[in-house]
Amino acid sequence: MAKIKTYPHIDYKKCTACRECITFCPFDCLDLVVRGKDSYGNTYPGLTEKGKKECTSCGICAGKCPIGVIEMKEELPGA
Amino acid sequence: MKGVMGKILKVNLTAREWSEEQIDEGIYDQFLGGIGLATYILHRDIQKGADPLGPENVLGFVPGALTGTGSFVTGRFLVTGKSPLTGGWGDSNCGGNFSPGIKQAGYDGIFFYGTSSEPVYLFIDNKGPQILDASEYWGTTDAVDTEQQLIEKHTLRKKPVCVTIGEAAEKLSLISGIVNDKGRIAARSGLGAVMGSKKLKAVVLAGSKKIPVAKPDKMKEISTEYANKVRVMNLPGFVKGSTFPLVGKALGLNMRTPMNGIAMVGIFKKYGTIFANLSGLNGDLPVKNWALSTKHFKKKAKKTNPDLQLKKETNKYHCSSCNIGCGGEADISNIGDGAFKTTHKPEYETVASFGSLLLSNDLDGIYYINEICNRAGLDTISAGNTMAYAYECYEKGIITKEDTGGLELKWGQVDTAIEVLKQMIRREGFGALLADGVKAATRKIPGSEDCAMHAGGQEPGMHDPRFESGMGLHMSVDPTPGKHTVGAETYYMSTAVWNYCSWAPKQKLESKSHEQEATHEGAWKNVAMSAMKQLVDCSGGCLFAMLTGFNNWRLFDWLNAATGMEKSGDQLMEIGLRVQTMRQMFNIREGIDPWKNKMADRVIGRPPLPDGPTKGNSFDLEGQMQLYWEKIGWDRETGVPTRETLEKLNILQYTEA
Repeated sequence: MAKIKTYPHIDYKKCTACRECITFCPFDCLDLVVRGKDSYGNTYPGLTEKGKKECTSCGICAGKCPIGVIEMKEELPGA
Repeated sequence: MKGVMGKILKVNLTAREWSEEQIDEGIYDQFLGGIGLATYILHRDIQKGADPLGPENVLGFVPGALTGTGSFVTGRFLVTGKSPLTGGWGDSNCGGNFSPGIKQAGYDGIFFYGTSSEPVYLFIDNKGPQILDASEYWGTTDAVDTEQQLIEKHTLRKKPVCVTIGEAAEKLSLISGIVNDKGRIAARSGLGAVMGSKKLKAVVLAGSKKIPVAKPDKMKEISTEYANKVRVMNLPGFVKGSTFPLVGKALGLNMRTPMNGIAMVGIFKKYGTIFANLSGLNGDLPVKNWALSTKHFKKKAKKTNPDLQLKKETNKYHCSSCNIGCGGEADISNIGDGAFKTTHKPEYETVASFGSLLLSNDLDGIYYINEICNRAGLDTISAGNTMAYAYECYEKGIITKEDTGGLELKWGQVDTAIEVLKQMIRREGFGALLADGVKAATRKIPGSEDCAMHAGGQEPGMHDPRFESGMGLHMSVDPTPGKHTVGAETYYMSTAVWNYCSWAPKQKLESKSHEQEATHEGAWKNVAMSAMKQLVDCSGGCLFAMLTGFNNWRLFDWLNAATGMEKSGDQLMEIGLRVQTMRQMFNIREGIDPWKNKMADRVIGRPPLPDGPTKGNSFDLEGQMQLYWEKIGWDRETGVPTRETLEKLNILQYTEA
């Protein structure tokens, strides 16, 4: 049976921009690309254009998130 | 033990060979990881009397036991080795993004032995380590550009992380450091020169090994609690840059009180360290090579208002695993000759080193200098102190235009400092006299000793012991002297360490007048301060997170959950004491007299300042050092750890020559 393709969805109300998901993604699918989520000027992690194509649904990012605010879902984030 | 990778990499640059060493569980149990592991390896592998810039020195890069395990603010690494600046134990703590890369490469430390005949760099991916030719970067490419080029070269599926050295370290400047993530520097102890002496231009890591964690659910529970606390701590709208002198005054009141350190988070999230540009007017900010009080910089300081730095900020910056994010990035393409596009937001230390210390408030100039230092890999603290030393020598006529090649070193002028700085990096002209810091400069400029501020050879961080005596004590008593990050009373009162360690005195609401004197309780606090800081450095933790308090940033609980150990607070603090004593024993073995690490007289108020908020302040440094030594178990007359202490800490076998 073919594996169902899933993508990381980040809860930006809780994400701390700590970069752990970026650090541990084995394929560089995530980067600091999301702005405007707070008044400090932080950039937050998200799938890059490359990541949208190359994410392998491994879920390592979700597992490494220190507070578990990444959920793997079938649709592309922002879609 | 979980949390760690169980082995280190040893790279022999002379033979261009590498090998792995499995580390016994017992070593982790005693030393944990990070700086602790490094004290074990370096004691064993650096021979007594080794030339710090010779092949016999060993340069180590160590992440913390908590790095990459799901805890917050524990993604720092330490560079360790025998310091060419002090001649003793050298370490330098650094943020950025490099630390987890060491563990992902499969190691709890990478240690370099020998010296390469040609420039090389180390590359590690999942296939293993390779020692590769770096001659195209050596002498041609600065630290930031080298990092970028090597990352591009080695990006296949995953972008690597990288540390590099710049021109200052290639030319063996004793105040040079090691750079990662475009300008986060392991700057102290002169370890850049050690890397330069080994002809090692860079370390590039692209591994993706899994880091084992004993209790991942517990890690998440603790991390979520901390994240929730940090998330809601925001500064009220009325707190602006201009209110920080008032904050400074509050900190300067004659009072100590236990503080909930989480209150600091709002300041760090918005401003980072630069709030101290103005809070430091309470007497903490050194002025004119430590010769004047802050009263003489009050008007000028307005141009270093941290709000002006926020205006330059284009982006916040978080080091690896940090949920606070005190750093920033700035656009500097319109500054100076426009040579640089961006820089990391200069920290308070840099703003002070090239600001008040030179009687300058030229913020643009400081941003430009910051980037010059980042790219050359130069310690801004040591470089700023050295510049101030030179300015004072010029003012006093110890050096003249004939010595400076026609440059006029006038207080307040940063343009001249930029020119001298470039010469220092290139080791050319007048700058060559200053390239190795103040102590080395005094040997070349006779009669200048009174202008040279240092402890044991290392220039002091930008926090004035006349404002806070504990800062002067720790700068003098730590085996790596001169550092502002190793201890202070202000630090202590927000850590809540007394909730975890039975012998750490509880901070009471009390006057701080007695801090000028040596007291038993004060000494115990200072010993606890050292132990907890070393424990943090074993873990890969950050000083600023420590200041948010162990009851919030639950390091002790994270350590047990990540590693699977079940150690009490006292047992974990004993690791800190063990590491501190190992560091001191390294110095003793190298023939360093601990009394010689005392901070320069001027910096500790001898003579006292005649005016300003710290008017008349001096303190009993010698008495405080002796009581610290007594309480930590080092001989109170000599500072040498006693045999009884070495036995008690179970490190006699590692420290016997």
